[in-house]
Amino acid sequence: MTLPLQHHPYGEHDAVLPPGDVTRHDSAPIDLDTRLHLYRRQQEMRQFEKRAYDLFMQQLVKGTSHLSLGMEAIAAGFGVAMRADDYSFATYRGHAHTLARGVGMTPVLAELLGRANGLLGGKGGSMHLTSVEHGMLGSYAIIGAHLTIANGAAWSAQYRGSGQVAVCFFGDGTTNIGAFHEALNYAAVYRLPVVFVCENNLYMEYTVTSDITAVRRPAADRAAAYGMTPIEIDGNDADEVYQTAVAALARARSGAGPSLVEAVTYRHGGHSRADPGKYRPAAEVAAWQAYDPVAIYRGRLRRLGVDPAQLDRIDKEVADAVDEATEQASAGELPPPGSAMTELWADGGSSWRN
Amino acid sequence: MAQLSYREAVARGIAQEMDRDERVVLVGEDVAGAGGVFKTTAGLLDRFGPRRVVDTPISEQAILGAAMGAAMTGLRPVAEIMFSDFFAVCWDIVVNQIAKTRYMTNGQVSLPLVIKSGNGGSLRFGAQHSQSVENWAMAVPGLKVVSPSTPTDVVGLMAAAVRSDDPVLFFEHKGLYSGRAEVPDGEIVDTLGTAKIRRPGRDATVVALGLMVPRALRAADELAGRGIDVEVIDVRSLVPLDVTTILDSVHRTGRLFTVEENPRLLGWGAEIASIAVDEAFWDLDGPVQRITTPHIPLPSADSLEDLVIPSVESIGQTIEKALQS
Amino acid sequence: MTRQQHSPRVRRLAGEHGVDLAGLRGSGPAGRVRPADVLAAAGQPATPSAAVAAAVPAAAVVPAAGSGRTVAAALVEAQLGAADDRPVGPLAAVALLRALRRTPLADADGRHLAVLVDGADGRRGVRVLRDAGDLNPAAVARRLTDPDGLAEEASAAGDGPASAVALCDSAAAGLLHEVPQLPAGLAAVVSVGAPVERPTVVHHDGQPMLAIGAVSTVGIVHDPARITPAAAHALLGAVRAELETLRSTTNPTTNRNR
Repeated sequence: MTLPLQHHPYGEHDAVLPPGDVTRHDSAPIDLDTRLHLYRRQQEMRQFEKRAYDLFMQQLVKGTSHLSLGMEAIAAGFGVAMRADDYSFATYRGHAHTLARGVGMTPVLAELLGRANGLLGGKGGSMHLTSVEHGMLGSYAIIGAHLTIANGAAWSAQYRGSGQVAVCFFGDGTTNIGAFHEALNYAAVYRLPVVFVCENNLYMEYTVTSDITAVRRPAADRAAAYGMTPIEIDGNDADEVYQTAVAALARARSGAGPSLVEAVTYRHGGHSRADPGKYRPAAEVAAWQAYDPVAIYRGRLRRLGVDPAQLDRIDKEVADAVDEATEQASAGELPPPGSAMTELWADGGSSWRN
Repeated sequence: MAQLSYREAVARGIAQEMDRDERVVLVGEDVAGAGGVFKTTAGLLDRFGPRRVVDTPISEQAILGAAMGAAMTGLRPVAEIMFSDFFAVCWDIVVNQIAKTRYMTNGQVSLPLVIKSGNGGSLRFGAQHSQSVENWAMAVPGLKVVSPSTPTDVVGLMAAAVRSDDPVLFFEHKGLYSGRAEVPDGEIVDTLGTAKIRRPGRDATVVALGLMVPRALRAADELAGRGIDVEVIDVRSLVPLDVTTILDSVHRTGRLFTVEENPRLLGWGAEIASIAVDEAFWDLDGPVQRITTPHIPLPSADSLEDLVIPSVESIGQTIEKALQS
Repeated sequence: MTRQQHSPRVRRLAGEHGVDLAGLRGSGPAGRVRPADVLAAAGQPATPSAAVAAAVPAAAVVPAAGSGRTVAAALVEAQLGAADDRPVGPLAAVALLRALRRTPLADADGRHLAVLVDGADGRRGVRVLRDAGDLNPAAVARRLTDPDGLAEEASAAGDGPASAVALCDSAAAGLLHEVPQLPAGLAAVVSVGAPVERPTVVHHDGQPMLAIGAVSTVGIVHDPARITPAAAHALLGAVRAELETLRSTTNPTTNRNR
């Protein structure tokens, strides 16, 4: 048996560096309104997650939470490309994916604080953010399961002929669990209108993905096994993500079947709030901090002639929204005790006997 | 009225509901073209077509995940897990996803789905194809659990399960598939959460499920010949549990027995015994006894399997001995 | 070895009937005291409803003449299964609420339970148990005996009664059947009488068999201007069906840990 930690000390594996050129999508055929929308969404996610981090450090957010800092371009790129009635599914790292569907900041933050005005009434928490009315069909804490569930939503759309598409986000670690493989085969067999998006941030919790995956590209190198085209993109360039999303959604909507997209990105923080992330080579962390999706996008908009004052205005509007959400979430009441016994069954109750 | 086998009743119940509601679909391994490995879905593909009756790969997680996703978005799927032992392969989807999602989302999500499965032993299929796993499901909040013992109940409870907006695990008993009985014509819709007194009696309350119901009834007939008159209740539904019918009966008879095919520990009878000892303590004229398979996997040899699963003789002897001490 | 231990049931019956277990000879195995032994020592018949039948007068209460309102009445018999010594009133209350929830009548929708109660001055009043729709018979029984559990019927002008269909527990008074006066403001009163033992036909495995069953009369008195005879008869049938489903009342001991 040959073990990775026999080849390199823990945390001292070869670094994977980001792309060098931030300008290659400057001339992409994307209109300015859409681009401004993409910028705003990424700002919302960035500032919201920073606030969530601060509140966790103040111990107002309990338990744990998994932040999307550094990974905003993927959620924003797909969120803007999706139709309002499309379905999205995410893992427990789902704050950005929830905001991407237009869910308000207040209910999301209030849910993290465990308040009655939280998105889930304090019943689900950070890892289960769901808003059916926005098409955000949930954040799932057991990786792999939600790929199979996304298939179901896609099947339903196909059965009803609605043209809706299901988009399912997951990490690189998910590509090694059984449900991933079952779901891909299943989606391909029935040509389901589903897009699988692997947010490859190079690390499966506290272990570098390359140490425990048989192939170099955890998602793209599995696509062919299920009859799909390998797609690997720069997950930190919102324009590249957006264009890929538009194409994959169109393909699904046309009845041509599922896609598997591998978007390479990087976490600014650890796996969860409890993790300071000391197992990543310093040079790698520094390079990826510099290859920041929000900074990249701001730079692009500047090069395209957008007035910095306009971008500052967007930043300020987002900051104000985050402050207001913080205030309203913090003012939220604790969930009423009786609510613990509600909503197990469709009748709103939880009784198992007469 | 018509004579129907239990397995035909399964198909009839599903067909009744698929006829009535376009959103009802059926999915599972070999359910379409082959009509089910136990022929419980025979004829449904011809009647409803491949769009509504779907054959799948061997992918239990994918099958149940698809059922869940479809139920979240407007369909009312019936998914099959061929042998209930296979629930272990996809238990994450059942207990972490299906059972919990409505609660965690504070009611945003409804899951009107049914998972049907061939449960139980007595057919010499060996330990990995013969288990009674209804208790695994009973133990997890958020799942409704039924297990009919007669063809009429199969139709009615399948209809109730499909019409319920909650996830229902529908445990068919493999050992009852070929049993035949009269089933009324027309639409049959039963009620989840209701037990039925199959045989009224005075001297003891005997609660049974699935294959144990006909065995308890035959034991009751034999005991009647020896002057012991027991009341046999078919519990039918573990969640919701019809405690009222059971405790009413215990009040009248003063003695309680459960007959469970599952291995001993934490079978559904333990919960009923616990409730009785709590809420009907002052009605009890003797110890509550559970008649169960011992706590072992099921052996495959017919002689051994017949020895360990409660039999008509062992049920009758246990009750008689208890009442006479 | 003689058994000195008495079962919970035996101890309860001894307590209820004031029987001293110390000197009691048991007819059970190894001299165990059986419930029937306790009842015999107390001078009670082994089956309780025979006691009830012995106490019941044959006459029924008839409404006073000149009430100034046309009323109609009907009655049916409910088969309650094997004999039981627990009160049928709370059972009938739950049956009535369930029947009304299924098919509301005259604004009575099964949420609140109205009952006829006899006041200290001998007059009949209507009291309401609010939000009783989800209660089981044991819970109803408890709340009926709790003086704070019943609200005075709203009688302010313009306030209709919380339930236009009330229950009359004739069984509690030991009556086989009663035709109560229909109080002002109510559309109907459903009365349930004390169960008596009767030979009945039961079906087992589709085969008819003779058995001893308890039968209770359920009647309705209604204002035909507010509830048609057809609707009243349908309600009566529904109450009977629910009552037969409930069969006998729940255990009077506490129901915790739900």
